[in-house]
Amino acid sequence: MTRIHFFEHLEGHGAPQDLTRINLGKNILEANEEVAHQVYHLYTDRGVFLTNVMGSPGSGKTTLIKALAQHLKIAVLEGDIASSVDSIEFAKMNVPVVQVNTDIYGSACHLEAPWIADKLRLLIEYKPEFVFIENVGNLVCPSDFNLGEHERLVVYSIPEGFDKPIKYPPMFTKATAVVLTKVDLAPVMDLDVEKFEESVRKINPHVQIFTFSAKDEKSIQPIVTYLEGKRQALLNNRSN
Amino acid sequence: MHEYYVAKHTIYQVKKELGELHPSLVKKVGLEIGKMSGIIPEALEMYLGLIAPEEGLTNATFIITLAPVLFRCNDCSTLFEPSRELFWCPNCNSSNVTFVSGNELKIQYIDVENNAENKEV
Repeated sequence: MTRIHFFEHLEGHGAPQDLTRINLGKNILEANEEVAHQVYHLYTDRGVFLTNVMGSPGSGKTTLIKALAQHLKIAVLEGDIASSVDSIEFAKMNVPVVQVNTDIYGSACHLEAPWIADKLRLLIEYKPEFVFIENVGNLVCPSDFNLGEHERLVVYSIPEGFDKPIKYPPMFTKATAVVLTKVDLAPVMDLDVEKFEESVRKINPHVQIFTFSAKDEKSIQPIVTYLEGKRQALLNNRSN
Repeated sequence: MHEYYVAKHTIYQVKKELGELHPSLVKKVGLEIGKMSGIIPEALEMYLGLIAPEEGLTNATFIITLAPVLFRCNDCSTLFEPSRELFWCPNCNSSNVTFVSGNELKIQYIDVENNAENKEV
């Protein structure tokens, strides 16, 4: 019979004499990590900057990537439990896009590297400078799975409320950049954007924070400049 | 929500490490789960209990150790477990801190029965 016990501290006991202990200290998600590393090295070698875009459903991930597509040479991998709603949007814009539906993986709430690696290898053949993975909308699960990305960008919208970083710390502590979206709604909702930035900094003091509104075309520019800088650094490191 | 997938990865990884050994020889598996890994230990427990016997680990006990969330202050070197709402140094209030641990999802060890030749598999 399978049994499970919990301990708050590491066990100090060795294996009894009739048992042999195999000491591992290995990542449970090693199979995922191996594929993620292959993707990371492929993208780095080809000079393509890979961004894993994560956030709640409706936080504005697709809208943000669509705005970036106006300024950057991109391709997109769309992750959703079902449907091709978002990928059709990108196809209409002539942006190379592949759709991954996790309903074939038990309706998973996240993407895993082995599920998308072939698609990412395909997208790179369209010679983009940036590839965006739009992860399944979820503020918890995607953060545990490395997809081989250079950047972990968390999209966090004003209507979600300013307490989300402390409620969902794994997502925010692992982020390299946070984009606060729908900032045009802050005055309508009587909310202070600075308070949102503060709440992110309490959890991740050094993360890059941007504000974005789809109503303000200029607000995408600092994010474009940031990503271009990150890709340039990747190219520089590669040639060194 | 993704505890089912983490449980599946756990069993896959354990069986891979066993090589030729039959999964029923596994008596104990030590797991280390960080308190900030995003995993609900009770949910992982439930899925391990369901998946392990199906995959042949019929005699296994899973020992789940919860690893604390730790940060180190880069200014005063204090190692601290942050409060639930602020990850800054409690000693000098610096925000210049480095994440040390708390994201772990690890298989620490597998205990396997020695008398494999006597075991009916």
